[in-house]
Amino acid sequence: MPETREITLGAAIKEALVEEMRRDPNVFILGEDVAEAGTVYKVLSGMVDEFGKDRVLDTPISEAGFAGVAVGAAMTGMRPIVDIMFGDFIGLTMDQMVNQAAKIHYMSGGKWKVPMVMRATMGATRRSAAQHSQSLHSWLCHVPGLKVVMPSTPADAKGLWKTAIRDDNPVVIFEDKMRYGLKGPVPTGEYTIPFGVADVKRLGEDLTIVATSSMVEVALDAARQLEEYDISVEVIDPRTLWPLDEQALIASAKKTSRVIVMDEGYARFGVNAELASVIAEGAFYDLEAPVKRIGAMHVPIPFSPPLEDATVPTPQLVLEAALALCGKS
Amino acid sequence: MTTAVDKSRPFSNIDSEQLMRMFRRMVMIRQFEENANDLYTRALMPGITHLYSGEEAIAVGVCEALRPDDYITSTHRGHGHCVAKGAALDRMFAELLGKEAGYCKGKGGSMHIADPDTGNLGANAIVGGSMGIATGAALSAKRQGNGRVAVCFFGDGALGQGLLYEVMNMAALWKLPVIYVCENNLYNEYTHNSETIAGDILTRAKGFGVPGVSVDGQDVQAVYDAAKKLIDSARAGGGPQFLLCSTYRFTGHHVGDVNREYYRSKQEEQLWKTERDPITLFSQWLIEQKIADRTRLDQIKSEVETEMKKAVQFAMESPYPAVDKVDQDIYA
Amino acid sequence: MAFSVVMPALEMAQETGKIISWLKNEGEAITKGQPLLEVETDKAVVEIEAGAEGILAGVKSKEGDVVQVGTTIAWILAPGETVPVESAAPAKTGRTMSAPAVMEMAASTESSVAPTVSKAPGGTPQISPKARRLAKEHGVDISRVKGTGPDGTISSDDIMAAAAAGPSPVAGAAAGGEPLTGIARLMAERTTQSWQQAPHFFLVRDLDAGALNDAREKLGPAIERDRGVKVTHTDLLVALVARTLVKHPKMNASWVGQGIRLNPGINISVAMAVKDGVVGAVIPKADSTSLADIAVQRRDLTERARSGKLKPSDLADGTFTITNLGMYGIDAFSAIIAAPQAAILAIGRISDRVVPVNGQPGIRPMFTMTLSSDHRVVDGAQAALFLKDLADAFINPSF
Repeated sequence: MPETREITLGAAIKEALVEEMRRDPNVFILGEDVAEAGTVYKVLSGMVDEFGKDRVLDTPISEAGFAGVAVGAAMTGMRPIVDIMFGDFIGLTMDQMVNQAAKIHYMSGGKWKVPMVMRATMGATRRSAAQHSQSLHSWLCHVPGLKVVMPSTPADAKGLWKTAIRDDNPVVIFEDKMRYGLKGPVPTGEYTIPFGVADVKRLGEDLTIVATSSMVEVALDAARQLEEYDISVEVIDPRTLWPLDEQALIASAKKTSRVIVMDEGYARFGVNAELASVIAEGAFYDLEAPVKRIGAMHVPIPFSPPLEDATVPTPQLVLEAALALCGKS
Repeated sequence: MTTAVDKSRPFSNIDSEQLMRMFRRMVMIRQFEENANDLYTRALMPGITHLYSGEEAIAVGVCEALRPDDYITSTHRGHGHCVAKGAALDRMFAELLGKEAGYCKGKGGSMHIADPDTGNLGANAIVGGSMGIATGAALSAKRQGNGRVAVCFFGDGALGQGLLYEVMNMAALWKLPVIYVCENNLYNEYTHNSETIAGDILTRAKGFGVPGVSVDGQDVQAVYDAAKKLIDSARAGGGPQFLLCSTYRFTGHHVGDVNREYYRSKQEEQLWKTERDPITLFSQWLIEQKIADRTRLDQIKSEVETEMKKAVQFAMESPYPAVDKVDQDIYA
Repeated sequence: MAFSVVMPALEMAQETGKIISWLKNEGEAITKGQPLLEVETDKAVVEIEAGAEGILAGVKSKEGDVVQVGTTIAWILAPGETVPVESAAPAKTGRTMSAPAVMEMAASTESSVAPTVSKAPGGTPQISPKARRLAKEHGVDISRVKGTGPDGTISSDDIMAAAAAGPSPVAGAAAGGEPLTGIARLMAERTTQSWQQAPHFFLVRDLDAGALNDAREKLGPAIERDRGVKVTHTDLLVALVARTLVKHPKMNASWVGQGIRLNPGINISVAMAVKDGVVGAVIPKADSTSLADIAVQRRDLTERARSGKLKPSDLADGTFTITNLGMYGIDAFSAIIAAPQAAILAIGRISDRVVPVNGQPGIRPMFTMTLSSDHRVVDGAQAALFLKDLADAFINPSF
């Protein structure tokens, strides 16, 4: 059991970035307000003091431009980290990510590589309204050539970030903007977490909840409540959406025969649909009931707090769905 | 537009070996495109391609001023840049035909040819799609201190893409060694650019503090002179530069664009072909300056023809990639 | 060097072009870039320039011809050259992938990226959720059902088959038995269904075939001469049964679940042997069809049956079946009704028997016919009346 200490999600991410930037001089960060401001979430605070403005580079408000610059820099020997303040802005970067970064290695027959990381946020309930609250990670999962990472805990975040920076492919990491304060145990030594390996966050027998990012906490909360109904819940976190640890999800589904998939993307046409489909195909003959999807309500995220809160998956929603699946409603 | 070479201009500082190499390269590009067109019309080429015929002086003039390890990014009309930067003809034809021996193992095709050995970051099928890449390569070169520059080729059509202005802004702010080369052939696909470009082109660069120069794109020496100055300046830390070349594509937007009169008159095309052909103009100059005679020039053309035939045959005889390769090279 | 002039590919995905006019003639001198011919694509008429200098020769295609793109239509020769002989196989172009290659690609990518589904270990059969539900509803013990789906998966069909077979264990594809072909299986299913569902009763008559034999001798030669077909007893029977049915519509009816459907036409099915079973080949509207036409149709159907070329339309819409095992030496038999028909007539062989003739023992050609009827549609009296009229028709035939 490695020695651990309690630090926040934000601190764990910063540790990963600092350690990797010390390890490899070609790693650098570019984005809006990354230097003195340390980004609006303050996760990068102080890094410009250690690494200088060349390696913690403030850009103009030109997402397409600096995403493109990152692609070119990555192709020619650097390892850029592009910081996108709100995941909603990835729309501005789409040509550079979808038509350029994702495809350059393939289109060149393996000749050029694009070792870059894009850092974006997701998650609602910040009262930031429709254009600053979306979880659009499924868009990038849909594009062959990219890798998509969703850490849910400080320990996962640090290990996954290191792997992402060392990966020679374009990786996009989505962090829940509301959870940088989440505390958790993080090993003290050097470690990385490989992509494509899910993590069972809680063992159970009766029901599986596949949850991503901050939905892991929601699932764990619901799991505790379900104990009182004598329902033993297993929570499994894919950690990376692509590559995806299908075998682990299917094995868990086969074990419990009842599955809820929870992702904060919109309920339709997103990650929930894909994971549900993977499980239905792989565990069909072991399911007692259809796979249930719980995601953000399929509406633009409203500003008014009671409306916004109604669109996000909550432990209560999970509880009700779980009881229905187990025939105990 | 000027209609004749200014014979009173003093010689550029180019030795005759380099001049002949430039001539040969232009002929290679012209013949490559003719062969590409032939493959297409004979229904031997999958998909379509976009020919550079008529614009040879720009690719050759600019690339002559570059070092082998300098970077270029190219466009959908990119065979000329690729050849000018030193690519092998047989592997280029193989790529156009989707064969495994092609530059990209057949996975890219005409619009995505790339060659790290000659610093070619790749042709791009998205108009303006490689502007960010070229700028990033320049950032990389500056950061690593290796003295390289990046040339970003694009057409006048790409002036409509916002990305250009985003990256010029950043290039200027960070003083990046990138040269933006605009090949103004007057048409954005099937529309004359008087309908698509407002204001003045060089002023766009000037607005970001990027020095710009305008040059006759049909005069390979003029292009070389101008490009060399800008490239040397960028290499020495002078920041980004802008080169505007006036030119014309002799053929259609793509090889299937044969009925063009609704957007371009035959007279206009004829005028450019007869009086503004960069290869003809350069030939005339070489002969007048007694650097080479007609026989020598014809000999070069004939040598290139032989090379072309071999390259085409190589490509035709090359096998396609095995189908099980389809999901390789997605990830490094 | 001989330069081939091809029908050019101009537009994307263009497959052919049409020659509108040659602007130069065979034997004429051509300069490069000169307009050579006009071709028409989907969109427009385009002038094609000569790609080389020389003499136009070997013009293969003429004005109005529609030619595949890439095909040579003429040659431009240098002086002294002759028109080359072309290899027959066109170069592999890659403009369009051949369909098998495309499908092969699709198949191989699917197999390489699909998630591996692990099979059920050893003993536990896989069962679809629907099958599981049906098993519960029908009280079927899953552990005794053998699955016929992929990897031995138990499907709804398997459950329903088990349910229909009742409590005793059912094997899907019978353990150790031969799998049945389509026709054999159908025959097994249909006869089982008919025998189990239609309450059959049987009426028997012995008849003198003399009149039928005479009719055949009298009418046969003319028909053979005119239509090239030998009239058989079957033809006579088809004609007479059909005409008799006109007065007995209920014998021509069908049982359709809720009740009796009187059929508008009288379409006689003639039982015929095919590989693996027996089918009923239909002569439609046999009551209004001449004996000669009946004979021709019967012969054509028999030939098709023998060569395995019967069409579905040959077997459709029969309303009454005649089956004859006389040629196998059978004296009499009771046939199973071909549902949803109401009856079937089984004919035995004609053979000399000793019968009373005018009070004295005599030898007459006799045969036995057995009528099976569905008691849901007709009762004994109705069937007997039909059989009586039929016997009268056989003794006094008229066509």
